[in-house]
Order: sequence, then C-alpha cells, then structure tokens
Amino acid sequence: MTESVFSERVRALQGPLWRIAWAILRNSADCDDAIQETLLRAWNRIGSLRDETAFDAWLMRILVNECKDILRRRARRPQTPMEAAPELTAPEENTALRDSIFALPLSLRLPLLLHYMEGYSVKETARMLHLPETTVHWRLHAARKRIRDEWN
Amino acid sequence: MTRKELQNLFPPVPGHFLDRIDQTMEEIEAMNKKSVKRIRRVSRPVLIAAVLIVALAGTALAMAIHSRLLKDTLKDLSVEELAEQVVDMTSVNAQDGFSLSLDEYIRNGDNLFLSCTLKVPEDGKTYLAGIMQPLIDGKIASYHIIRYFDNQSSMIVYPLGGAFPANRSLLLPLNVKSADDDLSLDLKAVFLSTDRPIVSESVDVESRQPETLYADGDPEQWIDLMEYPEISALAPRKSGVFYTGESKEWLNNGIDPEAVGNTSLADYVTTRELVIPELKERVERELVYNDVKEHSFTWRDMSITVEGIRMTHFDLDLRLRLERDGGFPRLDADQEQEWPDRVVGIPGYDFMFLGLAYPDGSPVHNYEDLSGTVVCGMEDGDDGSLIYTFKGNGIFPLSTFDRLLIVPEYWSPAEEEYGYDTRLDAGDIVATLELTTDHGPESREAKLIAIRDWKPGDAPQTVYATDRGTYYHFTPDCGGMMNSKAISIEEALAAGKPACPVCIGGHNSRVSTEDDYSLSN
Repeated sequence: MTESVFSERVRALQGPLWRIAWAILRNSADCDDAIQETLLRAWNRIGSLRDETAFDAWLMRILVNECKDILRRRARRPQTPMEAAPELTAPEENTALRDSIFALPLSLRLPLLLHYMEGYSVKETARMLHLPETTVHWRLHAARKRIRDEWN
Repeated sequence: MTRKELQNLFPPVPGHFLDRIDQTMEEIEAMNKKSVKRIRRVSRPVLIAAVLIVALAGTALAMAIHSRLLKDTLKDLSVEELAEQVVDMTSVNAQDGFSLSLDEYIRNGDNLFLSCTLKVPEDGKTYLAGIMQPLIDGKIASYHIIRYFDNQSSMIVYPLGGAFPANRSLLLPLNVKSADDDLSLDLKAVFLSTDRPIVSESVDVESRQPETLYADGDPEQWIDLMEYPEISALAPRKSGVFYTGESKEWLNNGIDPEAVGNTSLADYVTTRELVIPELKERVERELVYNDVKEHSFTWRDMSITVEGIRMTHFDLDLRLRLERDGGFPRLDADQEQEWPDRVVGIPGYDFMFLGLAYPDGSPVHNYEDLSGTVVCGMEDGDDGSLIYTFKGNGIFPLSTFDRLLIVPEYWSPAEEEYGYDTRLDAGDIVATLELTTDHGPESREAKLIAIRDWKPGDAPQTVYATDRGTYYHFTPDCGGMMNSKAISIEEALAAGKPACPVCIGGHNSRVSTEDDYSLSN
C-alpha cells in the first residue's frame, strides 16, 4: 500500500476512529495520542497487512489495542489536575442512552458501538476485537439486554 | 435508533484530532525520507556507542561463577538419572567485572539445555543484562519456550547489581536443529546501564510518578522500553525482568548491541561473548513411553482415537484423530491466522484447544524452565476427521507420574477480552492416559496401558449446581440454568447430586484393559 493510499484510507475513517477512541478513552488528549501512535504503528507494519480489503478492521484493531495500552498506563498514573485536558461536550440529546452505553463494561461497549454505531458486520467486529463471531453475538446480546434492563 | 443517531451521541470529531492525523501523516512522509522525528515523543539521545569487540570463548578468568542450576533443577524435577549426565563447562568471558559464563549443558538430539550466568561489577550501580538469541552452527537458535523473548522478539533483560544480586543464572532450553553430532555455540550477553532508578520488587511501586514500568513477561504488561523515554522509574515485577523493546530487526539480522543502547532509557555498556566450538551429544538411553496401538474413546459427540504416543524425557509426540458425524466447523481464515495450528472448532463451543495435564491437574506446558512446553497442531484427516497432534519439547520427569490427562484448555473469565470460551472448566477432563513403566535394568520402555473415564478425585474439580437442582453440571448455564453456584465435586456428591446427563453424560470413555496393548518398541 502506498503512502497516499494509506493516507486516503485513514482520512476516510477518521470519524469512526475518533468515536471508537473516544468511546474507550473519554479524553480528547489521549485520543489524539492514540491516533498518532496508531497511525505510526500501522504504517510501520503495513507490510504485515496481507489483504488490503481488511485495512479498516486492521487499523481499528491497532487503535483499540493502543487505546487499551493508554488505559493501562493511565491506571498506573493517576491524573493530576494539571494533566487533565478540557473535555469536549457531547450533544445534550439522549444523554440517558449515552450514559447507559458508557456504563457498559468495555468488553460489551466496544462490540456494541462497532456493530451498531459504525455499521461493521459481526464478522468484521470479531476481527477487530480478536474475538470469535459467536462471542461477539453473545456480547451484543448481553449489551442490549443490559441497556434494556436499565431502561425498564 | 439509526446509526446516525447513535453517532450523534458522541462529540463531533474535534479539529485537534484531525490536526493530529494530518501531523502524523506528515511525520510518516518525513519518516519515509529518513527524517524521523516524533511529535509527542522526546527525541532520542545520541547513541552511546562504545561497542567493545569482546574476547572469544575460553577467556576463563579467575572470577568464574560456576552455577549448578541445570543439575539442581533436574534433581528438583526428580530426574536424577539425567542430572548425572549433565556436562560441566565453566567457560567464562569476563572483563571489567562484566561476565558471561556457560556453566553446564545437556544435549539430546535437537534438545540442548544450557545453564549460564551473567555477572556485573559490584560498584553499587544497577545494570540491565540479558542473553541474546544464541547462534548454533552460525544460525539463530530457537527456544523451546518463549521465555527470554516475547512474541515480538524482544529480549528480556534482568536488573543486576546495586540493590539486586550482582549475578543471575539462567536456563536456556534450545531447539538446536543441528544435523551434526557436534555443534558450535555462539552465546552473547549484552549489558545496559540506565539513569532511571530501578525500583526493587519489594517496594510498592503503584503510586510512583509519572510512570512506572512493569514488564514481567505478561504480554498485557508489555511496554516497549524504546518508546518511553519519559519513564522516570523502572520496576520489574514478580519475575524481575524487563524487555528491551522491539528488537526483532537486530535479532533477525544479526547481533547489533549498539541498537540496544539507542534509547534514553538504557544505554549500551558492553557485550560478552562465548564461542564453544563443539558441544557433544551425551545422553544415555532414557525412559520412553511408546505405544502405537489405536485406542478409541468418546467425548461429548466426538470419537477420539489415540493413534500413537511417544514420550521421552525430552520429547512428546501424541497423535489423536477426532471424528464426528457431520464433521467439524472450521474456523474462518482470520481466526486461523490469529491462532495458527492451535485451534479446533467444536460444536457447542466457540473453539478450544486440547491440552495435556499431569495427574494433579497442572499443565504439562507450564512455562517452567525445563519442564516442557507442548504445542498442539490440527490438520485435516480423511473423511472430515481432524488430526490433533501434541508435540512437546522440554524435560519431562517421566518417572514421577503414571497418568496424563487430556483436558480442554480455555481462557479464564479474567481474560475475557481474548474471548475464549469460559464455559469449559479445567475439570472437564477428556480422557486419562494411564501409563506404566518398567524400571527393570533390561528395559527402559514404558507403555500406554489404558484410556479411562474421568472419576471424582482424579483432579481438583469445580462443578455447578443450584440448591434445588437434581444434577451437578460442568457448565454454569447448562440448559439455561440460572443462579448456579460453583461448588466442589465432593460437595455435589455429598448432596446426592448425580452428573448431568446433558453436559456430562457424553463424557464416557471405553475403558481399556492392559491386555489389549502389548509393549511396542
């Protein structure tokens, strides 16, 4: 894959990349770092991508891994007020639903957002998250059930 | 709710995120022009490149540290007969207080186990020291187990000196793949220094700022040292090891210790190299479990046939044929790529491995230095069957056990992120292979005498049951069961609960008798 094609594919994905990074990290500065690291890693390992049609899933998988790394580092490094970046405000509508989604554990939240919000198939979601498809199905079911239970 | 509406729950993509993408793409462009500079990361320090071409093998100096780690470990594994065949070496390359010594080895065919020792000066400083991937007959040798390198081929280094011991002995289990009886060994150790304080294991490091590095062998804890110049303190945990960072390139392309020092975290200090021109094979005939008769049993809806078993102190070969009406679901290409040669799809389960365990339930491949690692492979057999093979390398203490368990392997709920099926329980034994040995002076062969069903007491068991339920189960949600509790098998039996005919019922084996199987040489 050439650099220009890589750039083009990345820019086409910037919305999903942002939302997934935000869904995991909830911190815009960390999202910026995550995307930078993701793109650098991806480009350095572009040779390992055998099937270019799988680029989206491949890049998203690297992003998810990078975000998880950041979460781990963050867990060991409590943020001080100096470090905390001013956060973005999310739209006011459907705040209850948003809260329900973010109350889900990451293992349920990610499949839910990748599948329902970004429109990836179960197979693609499974590929991104290193999961068997059946596990993704189960997690989607569990996520829906938790949200439904909360709303009821 | 539509996808668009869901997306609107999130803040819009901020400009600084898009800017960062632009900057990174520019950086990539610059990187391609060999003008590497990171936006966020601190630029790397100037290479400290005092590469010392070290003395060759046999520079045996007075400060030799002769470890008996290999001999002692074999004795701990109750393999005294092999311990007696360990070759003492005491070959040392020492200079300026930095030394690498090869203390002992034992070799049997492709299996070579080395015991060596790293030592640093006792000058109050703490160094990081590790052994690079050895060369056998000029080619990089692979380890039986991924212990000194992770799957990114990152070398592990150990803190030595200062608050840590000044020397450390290591066991290196190598797969030498040499066609020659005598082989040459090229062993190199690299020593690094760091200006970061190294926090000893006993100190509570959780609250250290701004970032404390953990690198204890757990891939989840893995951090690329080269990428984190801002780390202010290094803290090994548990096993006391660090990774040097991604180094596949210099490992695969030959040894370039300078590359290790090209970071602000750890600077290259020196290298010590040992070249041993010939290591001879020297292991006398060992105990062998050897049986080529076919033995069949069933597990769940599968018919499993043991097509052969051969196990020595150093090698394990077990071949199973799995058959099922309707065949087996195959993993998709991505899953096979992710877990090549290790996964079998089983109806009712997402997928699983078959593993081997000792009678106490502990896995045969438990990543101890010498006690063996087993890799499972899967290939298509005839008529839709699956051939499942176990190939093991290591030192198996054959005379200390008389049974091997075939068990489904799984990932614990705590590792749910990896998505392995958690419905399998470690106690869900597929079969027990009973082995017998003849310790008489005339024969060192042993044989597989039977495959038998699991019985309570074979291994620690956890089962699931409800207070009022009739049965105990291996799966916590068998038949849609709710509110099940994990209890021991003994508790279940004491409560008068029989085994569930659904999730345990298919768990029967045909018990074989010793008469069926003659000794095979």
